[in-house]
Amino acid sequence: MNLLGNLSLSQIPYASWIVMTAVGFEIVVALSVLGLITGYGKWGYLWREWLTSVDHKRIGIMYIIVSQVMLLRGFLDAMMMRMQQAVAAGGNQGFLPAHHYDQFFSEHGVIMIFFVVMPFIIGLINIVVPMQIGTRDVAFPFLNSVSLWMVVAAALLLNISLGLGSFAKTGWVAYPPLSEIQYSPGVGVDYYIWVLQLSGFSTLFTGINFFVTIIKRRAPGMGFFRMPLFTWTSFCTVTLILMAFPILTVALALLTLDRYVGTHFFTNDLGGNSMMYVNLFWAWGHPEVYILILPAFGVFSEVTPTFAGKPLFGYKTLVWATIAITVLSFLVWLHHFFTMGAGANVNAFFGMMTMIIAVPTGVKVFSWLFTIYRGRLRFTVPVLWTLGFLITFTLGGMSGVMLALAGNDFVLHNSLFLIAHFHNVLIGGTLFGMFAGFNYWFPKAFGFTLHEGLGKLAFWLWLSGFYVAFMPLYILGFMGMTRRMSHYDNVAWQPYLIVALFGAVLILCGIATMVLQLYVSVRDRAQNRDLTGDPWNGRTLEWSIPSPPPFYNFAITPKVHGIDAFWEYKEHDPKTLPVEYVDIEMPKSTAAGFIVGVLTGVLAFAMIWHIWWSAIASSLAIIGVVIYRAYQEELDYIVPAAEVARIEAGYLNQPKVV
Amino acid sequence: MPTASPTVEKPRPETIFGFWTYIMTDCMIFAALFATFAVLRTQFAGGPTPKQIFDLKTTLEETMLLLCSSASCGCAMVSVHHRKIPPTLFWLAITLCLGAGFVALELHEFLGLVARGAGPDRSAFLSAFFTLVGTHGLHVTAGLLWMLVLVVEMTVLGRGMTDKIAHRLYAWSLFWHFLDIIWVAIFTFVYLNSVR
Amino acid sequence: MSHEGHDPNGELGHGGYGSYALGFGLAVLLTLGSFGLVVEHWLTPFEEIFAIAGAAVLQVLVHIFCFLHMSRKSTPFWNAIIFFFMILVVGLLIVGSLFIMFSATANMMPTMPLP
Repeated sequence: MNLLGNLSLSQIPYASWIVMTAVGFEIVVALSVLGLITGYGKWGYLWREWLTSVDHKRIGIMYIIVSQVMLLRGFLDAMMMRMQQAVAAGGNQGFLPAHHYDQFFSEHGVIMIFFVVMPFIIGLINIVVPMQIGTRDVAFPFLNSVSLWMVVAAALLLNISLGLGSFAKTGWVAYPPLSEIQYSPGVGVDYYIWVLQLSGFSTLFTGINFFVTIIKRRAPGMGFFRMPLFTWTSFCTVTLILMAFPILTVALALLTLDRYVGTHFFTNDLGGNSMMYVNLFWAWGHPEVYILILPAFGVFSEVTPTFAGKPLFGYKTLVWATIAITVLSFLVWLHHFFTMGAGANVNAFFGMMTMIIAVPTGVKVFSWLFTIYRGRLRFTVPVLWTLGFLITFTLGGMSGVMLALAGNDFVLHNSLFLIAHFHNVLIGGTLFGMFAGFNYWFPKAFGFTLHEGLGKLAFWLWLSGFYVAFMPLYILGFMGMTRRMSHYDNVAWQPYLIVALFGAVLILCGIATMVLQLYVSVRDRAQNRDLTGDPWNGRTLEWSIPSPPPFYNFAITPKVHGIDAFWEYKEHDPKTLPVEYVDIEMPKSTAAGFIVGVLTGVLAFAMIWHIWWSAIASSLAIIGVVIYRAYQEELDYIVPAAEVARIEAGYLNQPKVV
Repeated sequence: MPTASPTVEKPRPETIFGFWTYIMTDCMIFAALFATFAVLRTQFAGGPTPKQIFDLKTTLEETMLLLCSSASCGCAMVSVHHRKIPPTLFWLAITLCLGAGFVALELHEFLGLVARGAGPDRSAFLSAFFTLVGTHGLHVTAGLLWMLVLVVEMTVLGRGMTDKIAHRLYAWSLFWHFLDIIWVAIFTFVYLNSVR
Repeated sequence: MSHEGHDPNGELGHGGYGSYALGFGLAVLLTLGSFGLVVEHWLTPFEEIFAIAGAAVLQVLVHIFCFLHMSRKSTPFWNAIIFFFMILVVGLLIVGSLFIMFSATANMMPTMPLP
């Protein structure tokens, strides 16, 4: 028996200078980060205050750090593809061999969906939702920590795949039979499977956590129809996570069994049916689309009323539209594979449902427009992202309705039109929403505002870059260019792809501007302090507490009397009441979450490389740590009232919602 | 009146609801497996058919074992409700034996099938069968392990019947009853419906 | 009862031995009925599938009411909501998958049966 399974030094792709440069770069970055931490002697601080923290705000911040780092990685993949396609026409083969190009587009999809957008969303939910509903922590703080570290382990594994073995060459959906062991031998698809399983389980835990948190931990008086819209859309998102992610778990598990045990779920022989994978994958995949977009809708629903200075237009309509989307999103999954060969009845049914689900989304767009209408809109960075979203997302929605016509889809499926469509909704919808939320809640999380001018510049670069990069792709789709081509013979496509590359460069400038914005804002933080805790004249509870909030969020549990609880308070009862503090119960930090995360990473790595002893050992260790944790007592501690009073005395200007 | 436990030891009120939510997600896992089985159930690929390999007597025995264990689990919960440790342990021990018997029978059935060349790699039907029923069996095994963990907490660690442990036992009983519900669907749609 | 204040089963309903005995009896009857139907061929195959499916649904309901003690009185609103939403999605997933997959299989070329 080989102790290292299939692992050997020959798995390192020495021959490829591109990969080796990237690996070298990653190692240098990792080493310098570790070196800096050691140099400043911050390991103890990092371990005590961050790695073992169960504070939802810290976990949220770490989620967003993961997503931003992975955004750089995913964008690098995108740049590689754009550069390759800009040159690889006719006789020119470009600089990327096909098997590298295939890994780039597979990684790009996996990274952007599972390690950029999902952690970004979950990070924002983590930071904002508990504060919006007036609670001190989530329902299961330890589980929250496990979720975070599982996703970090998965992200690390994905980066390891670059220098050790290879990643999947199957696209981010990994359809069998291509992803079966006969056609994809090697570890690429195994990396894909285990990275997604870790990330999926982590998301599922987060789903359970926030579903329970929102239902059980709202401040007194906050009925469901008084919840802020971001909390509402987060609630619908986590409900979708609960119902959709188990299906992904099963689809991946069955593929795993096919590859590891030799079952015949999706194989070509012995009765397997690869179409079932497609079916299961998208039965998860379509709800996932709404998991990605709903929180962005929530952000816009917070940003528009705050900066227009008037209540959200049609609060109840927006809520019901969100609920309608939640239910309908389980009725449209076939539109991802109209061309698979199901009959006309099937296609007609799912096509119609797809058009119907566009209606509640349209309702929302009008709600935001009417909120802005006759308001005194302040053109801050979040508002710019919102306006950019309204136009861009509507366009993307239109191209989506075009694809919803099964007849149209037969012409456009698998083409760059599709690529343009889903980037149009994912960038123009989700990512713009997350950037708006990032700028909007940054002062809440860190206590100082971001640089306004650079934020605006980043927005304009992203917006223009997006249009320049993706509008040519719509045209190329009509011209018949299919997706995932590392080389093409039709030179008529080339000019459009060069324009698209230019657009990608504009986006790159946008990202660079964002990094600069962060740097400048941190450097000048003394001037930009948010001393009131309410920099935007906000409407919801998170603005009623200091920025950054004390670890217990609310010294006194707020009482809610209507929608926009903080606004009501400011309108009707602006006097600061003398308050009496009480003891506060908070969860203790624990290393268990971090350890479980690391162990799941070890388990996945062992499974990828068939190191069975390690897989068994890490599984047992995970069970052991969980049981140990279950046996621990006194997981909470008391913050005495005097200590609360001392901390609160530091925030004299702070109003209290009581 | 028992003395009230100190604040820090009170079970979090959300625990049971969180567990209920987890069970809902587990139902989705089984739903996806059932859907897969339903699609692949006639794909024998020239291999054995259900009529040749399913032994309804074994299935009935498994069903009865699990059903009895559900009932004894219920009896345990009545004792938990009254905070009585000895009857709780008695009923849990019976549940453990019945559950272990179920797992042993299922394992025996599986090994017999593999020995006859009807393993999960023989055909898509058998892949789907082994995976669906095996996943349920794994859940039962996990349930038994979990119950042992709780019993150890009560007895070996000497914590007795605290509110927290009562909560945990209650959550475990939800899990156990839920597994029996899944089994009803399995014996009806996997076994009975396939041999008709 | 001395534990009224912090009842471990407070979240959902709970019952005495009676409800478990009733549930057990009904479940045994339904199980034996199903097995009997299939083994003894009392009905035509067409009637049989509806009969055993009906028995399964009934037995699930017995388990839900007698073992899990779900009822309008004792089950909190959100436990019920997520339960029914789960049932809805399970139904959509299974019915939808069969609808799609059987249609796709039926459209396979007749000369090319599934391997």
